Order: sequence, then C-alpha cells, then structure tokens
Amino acid sequence: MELDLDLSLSPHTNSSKFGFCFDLNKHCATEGMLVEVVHYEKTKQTRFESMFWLDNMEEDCYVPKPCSFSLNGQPDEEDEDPLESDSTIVDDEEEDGEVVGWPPIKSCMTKYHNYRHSRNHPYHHHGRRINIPNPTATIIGLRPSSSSTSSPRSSMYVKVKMDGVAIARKVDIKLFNSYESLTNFLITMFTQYQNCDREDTSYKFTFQGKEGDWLLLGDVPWKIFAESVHRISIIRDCPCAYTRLLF
Amino acid sequence: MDLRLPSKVLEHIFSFVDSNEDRNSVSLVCKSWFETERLTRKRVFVRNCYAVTPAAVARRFPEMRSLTLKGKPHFADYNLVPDGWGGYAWPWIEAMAEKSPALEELRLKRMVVTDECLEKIAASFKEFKALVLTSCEGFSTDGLAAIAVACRNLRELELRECIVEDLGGDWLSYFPETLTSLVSLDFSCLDSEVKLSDLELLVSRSPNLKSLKLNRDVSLDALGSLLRLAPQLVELGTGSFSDKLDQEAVSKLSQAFTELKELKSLSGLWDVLPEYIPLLYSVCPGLTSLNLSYATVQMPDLVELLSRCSNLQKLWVMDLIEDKGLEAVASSCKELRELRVFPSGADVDETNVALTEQGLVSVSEACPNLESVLYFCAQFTNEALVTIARNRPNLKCVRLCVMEPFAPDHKTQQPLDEGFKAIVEGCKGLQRLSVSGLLTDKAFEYIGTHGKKLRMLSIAFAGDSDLMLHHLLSGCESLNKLEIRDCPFGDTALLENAAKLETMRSLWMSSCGVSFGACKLLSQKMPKLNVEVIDEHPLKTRPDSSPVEKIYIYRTLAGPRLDMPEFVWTIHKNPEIGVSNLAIE
Repeated sequence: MELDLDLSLSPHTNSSKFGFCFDLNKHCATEGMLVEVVHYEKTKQTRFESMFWLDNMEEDCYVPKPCSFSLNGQPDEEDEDPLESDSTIVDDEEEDGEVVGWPPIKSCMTKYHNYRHSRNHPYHHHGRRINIPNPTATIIGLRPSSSSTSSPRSSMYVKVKMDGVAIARKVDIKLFNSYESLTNFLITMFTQYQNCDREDTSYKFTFQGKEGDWLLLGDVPWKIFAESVHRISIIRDCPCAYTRLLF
Repeated sequence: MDLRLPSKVLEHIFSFVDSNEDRNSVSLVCKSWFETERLTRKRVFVRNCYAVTPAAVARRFPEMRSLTLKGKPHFADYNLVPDGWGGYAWPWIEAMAEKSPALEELRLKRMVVTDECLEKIAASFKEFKALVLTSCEGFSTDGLAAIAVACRNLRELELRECIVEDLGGDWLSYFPETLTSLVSLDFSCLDSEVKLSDLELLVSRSPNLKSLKLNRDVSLDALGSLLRLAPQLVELGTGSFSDKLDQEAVSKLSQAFTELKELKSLSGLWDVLPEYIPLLYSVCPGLTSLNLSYATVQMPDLVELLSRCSNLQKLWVMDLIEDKGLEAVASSCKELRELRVFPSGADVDETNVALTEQGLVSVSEACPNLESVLYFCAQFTNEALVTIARNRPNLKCVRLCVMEPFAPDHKTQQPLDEGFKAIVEGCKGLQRLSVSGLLTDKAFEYIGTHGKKLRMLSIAFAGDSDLMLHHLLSGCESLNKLEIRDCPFGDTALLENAAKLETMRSLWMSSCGVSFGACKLLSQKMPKLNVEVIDEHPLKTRPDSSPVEKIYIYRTLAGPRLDMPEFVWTIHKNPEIGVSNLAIE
C-alpha cells in the first residue's frame, strides 16, 4: 500500500487551488502520510512555535532546535523529529494551515486559476474540451483536440486530528477497506512520533460526516463511512511530551 | 574667470538627459547643476512614497509634469503585507493639487487609491493626461467615472491588476463625446460588463488609440467589431476567447485580425479555445510581446502559435508549454529577451505537466538576447543552472521559483548552492535575483562575493544562519532591495551591518528570527531609517527577545510616517519603550 507523503501548503487568501505539494518523501525517512500543518489556536503562544529557528526562547515554550530542517534530509541532521520541523511555516488563521504567499503568485492570477478549477468553469481541465456538443466542422482550422477526458479522482483525503498533537494528518481513505486497517494505520502513524506506548493507550475514534455530526467510528457500515467522512478525530488517554504544545 | 556654463546652456544640455538615474547623478555635481536640473526635471520618480514628503518633491521640482510613485513593498503582491499597512495616494494627490496643478501624469504602483483621490485628480489637474495604476486598490468604478467625465485631454487610463470595487460598467459611458484624445485604455482587471455601444463609440472617436485592453466580459463577437473600428492598434488585450461563434462570425474575426498591421503586443486570451488559435496567426510575425498567462491551451497549440512569432521579444506563458514547447520557442523566437513561465496548477488536476529545468536550458542556449527570466518549476538541478549561466552570461534578471521549498537538486540531492554560484559568477551584469530550492549559507556567500551588480534579491525558505544575511549585506555592493521570508537568521548580522541599510532602499524580513529588541536598537541607532515592526498578533507583553512577525526597514528623509495602523510598531510611535541591552557590535 503506497501512500504519498506530501506536505500540502497553499497560498492563503482565495484558497488558491494551487495547493502545491512538496514531497516530504524526499526529505523524511518516513513514508506514507499526507501531513498537513495546522495552525495553533490563537490562545497558545503560536507566534513562537511557528518559527522553528529561534534562540532565546522562554523556558516553557516548546522550542524546536534552530535549523532543524530535517525536511532537507541531510545526513548530519539525524535524530531530528520531523514533527519539530513540521510545526512551522504556519502563518494565518486558516484552519488548513496554509502558507501565505507561496508560491509567489499575484492574486489576479490565483483568482483566475481558482475560477478555472472551479466547477463553474466550462473548460474545467484546462484546454481539454469536455462535453462539447459537436465541436463543429464549421469552425475553421479544427484540429484534433489534444486529449482524453480526465480520469475521475481516485483518492479521498481526509483530515485526521489526534488530541494533543498539534499537527493534523491527512490520509487517503480510499486506500483502506475496513475500519480495522484504518485505525491500525492511524495509531501507528501517530504513535511513531508521540513516544507513546500504544499498548498503554486507549483510543477513541470519531468522525464527522457530510451532515456535520460527529459519530463513533463503526456506527455506520464501512462503505457509507468511506463515502461520507469529512474528518476524523482521535482522543486518547496517554499524555506525552507533545501535550506541552497546548499549554 | 567664471567657468560656469550659463544656465541656458546647461538647460539645453540637460534636455538630452532623460533617465532619472542620469539626472540624479547630474544633480550631484554642483549647486548650479543641481538648481538647473531640478528646474528642468519633468518626470519625477519616487520609488518609495514614504522616503520623502510630497511637499518636498513639489518644492524641488516645480516643473514636474509626471509623477511616478511606489507604495507597498513588493511582497504585498503575495499577501504578506496586511491590509491597512499604508501606501496612501491621498497625501500626494492633495499636495500636488495645491503645489503642482499643472501635473499631467500620475503613475502609481501598489498604492491605496480611493474614489476621493480620483475625484481630486479630476477636479484639480486641468491638463491631466495619464493615469496608470498598477496593483492598486481602494477605489471603485465611480472613481473611474469621475476621471472619465472631467479629464478632457485624457490620453491614458490604465488599470493593471488592480483590485477595484466594481459597481457596474457605466463608468465607460461617462467619457464625453468630445473626448477624442485617447491613446491607451486598459480595464482588463474589471469584472463587470461595459456597454458595447459605449465602447464602440469611444473607440471610433479615438483615432490615436494605440493600446486597448479589454476585460474578460467583452465577448469575442464584440472584439471583432472593436478591431474593425481600431485597426491601428499596437497593443491589444482581448476579452474572453472562448465563446462559440458561427462560421461567419469566425471568418469576420479572422479578417479583423489580418487588418491589424501595426499590432506588436497581444494579451488577454482568457480561456482561448484551441480552435481559435489559428485566428491569431496573421498577427504573429509582427508580435514583439505575447502574454499567454491566461491562455489555457496545451503544448501543441502553443507550439503552432509560437513557431510563427519570429520577432517575439517578450513571452509570458503557463507551464502548459512544457519543455517541448520551450524547445520550439528556442528555435523560433531568436529575438527573445524576456521569458516568464507561470504555474498552471496542473497538479491539482492530477495531470502531469512536463516542464522541467530543461525547458529553460533550451531557451538559454538558443536565444542570444535573453536577459530576463521568471520561471516556476517543480524542481531544478545545479547542472541546469550552470549550463544556463554559461549559455547566457548576459542575463540581468533571474527569478527562479522552485515550487517546493527546500527542494534539493533532484538528481544529486545536493543543495542548489553551486548552481546559483554559477549564475552570479557568470552573469556579471545580474541586477535582479530570486532564489529558491534548498540553499545553505554557502549560496549566500557566493552571492555576496560575486553579485556586485545585484540590486534586488528575493529569498524564501533558505539558508542556515546569520551568515547568510551577513554575506549579503557585506558583499552585495549595489544592493538596493532585499526581501526575505522564512529564513533562519537572527539579530547579529542585521545589527552588524546596520550601516548598509542606509545605502539601500528597503529591507523586508518576515518569519525570520529577528528579535524585537534588535528592532528597537536599530531604530534608535539609525535615525534615517524607518524600522517598522508589523505584527498582527502581538503578545500582550513583548519581551526584547521575542521574535517579530514582519519587519520593513527603509531609508527616509521624511522621518516617521503618521499614517501607521495599530499593527505597525515603530520606535517613534512608542518612545517610552526603552532599548534593551543588546549591543551593536
């Protein structure tokens, strides 16, 4: 089961659909997760945590080491917890943890691209015509169009937030076929970074469906869950170092 | 013996001195040259509206006819400067209305322009001829109507990428029937539809109209009739190019294009359908500038178009052109001087766009006049940069945006230090550089060592330590504008090189590690600088060691500005806060 490790950061205003992804696979040893940086809530000392190369920090703030870019995968930066570097590059209020102003594209262009990528746009897949009723021989210079229809999206990324962990992850639900495989995967993923013993902890999984209600995992058959889940939340009992982030 | 030239002679000589840089040099020679120069300068360019007061400018240049101003820092283009920061045009317009009522041209970039401003312009400057607003905001179409109705000798009205409150297309109908002087009209950034009949009437009574840039709402049909009315156009920005036309309409449009014998610049082309590309073939050989940033066609169609553009000097295109398309550009467009390749967001659609570093390498190999590149790409290699530098030592502007922060050379996994070294070392006349990808302090050592002509530098997600900033500030002799975001340096380099900041126009730093205390210290020690701390989420108590969100430092003769919003902190605004015991070494 191959999952792509992507850190999804996209420009802030207009929620640009650029949503460029940079591939942490190249930088981190870990595989297989879509990591999304989440902005801390305002009440916490977010301004500090959001910069990961600080000296002179107050004692009780979580201080990632300066230059802790394990993202660059350089061999001398071992023992760098990827989370340290992950908890960064966050700027604004956006819950989705988007990076403002990156890539550096002017708003008129992002506005246009959002429009293009939206459902309203007649040529949703740039330049390739879809559902054109008889593009006609009456048009001069008609040439074969450059390709096929697009394939339907085959992945469904859903945000997963574990209690006490600042950073939410995204997983592709379509890659799983049962609750057990999903929950096992999630637990493994989170405990890898939490220094928590998985045996010691009890986890409670809830999910939010299309209607906005929070339900317990397992309340609905897997198939229905897989189609309607919007986000997942995990509550656990094991306190660990990272809960310091909250206080 | 009086060796001075009579001022009449000086005036005559200076009348041949056009560029502002030269005029600035002239004015430094001696007092009489300063006086003569200032009394004859007609075009004034103030690159930072807060560097000098409007009154001082009006006083120094009484014969000013054209004023160009820039407001917000460049990173405002990418939403890094919060709304309300500043850059207001009003104080300038108010001052000029009083002191320079003969003003004819106003060009503003990244400024806040309100309807009141526009109304004031309309009411105050009797000979007003040109209004060019680039990346401005704060006004509505009502303000445009005020300009249209009152400025009887209007030649240029250009809104380039402005954010306008669009209250409808009526504003266009306010141009009086007596207005026949229009040379350039650009309303491409507006959203709503203007009445076609108004537009046609305006165009038909403007025999001098050379540049027309329509907004997306002007239909393809309408375009045809407009082109027939203005075959003399030199610059055309079309509206949306995707309406379905019947064969007759298409052939009429095609004919209209063939009549555009003078056309040199083409833009717009929103959503252009592949089957309409051939309509443009007739103008291609004459084009020197082509903006396909909104032309959502695939590589084969782009190649068909570009292979006919043998005189093209400026090309802006999306990455849909791919490496193959750029190879075609390389072989067909030998006159190319400027290339910009923008991301189309294809990843979102899960299509693979085959644009890599190779595309830029091909163009650099084959286009001898290539001077300026802006290139968005998923990844790059040192080898490519070295090749580009070797091929094109005449490059003056290199802006490479590797979209993935910290991306190393994708073949060797090394930082891109060596590649950028080749660029700064090889391109000795390089004036503007934007770097990206994985970069260590070494890259900046190279830039400091070799980038002697570098004036503007943009950096994001790079470097390791204070050394990076130190190399830049101590090495780049010509450095004028430096903008940095998300880089890991602290106070040391900044404070050590404080004196350098007075030789630069401005420095922007955001999400770096500079502390509040350093800002205070810098403000105190360097009175000719405005040190602005921009912090939308300030802590209740701000210890000196706390890092600041954003800092904008610029030299100024005007002293602290009085129009700062609450989220901007300066020492002048807050004199009661003492300075910490951090020392400038």
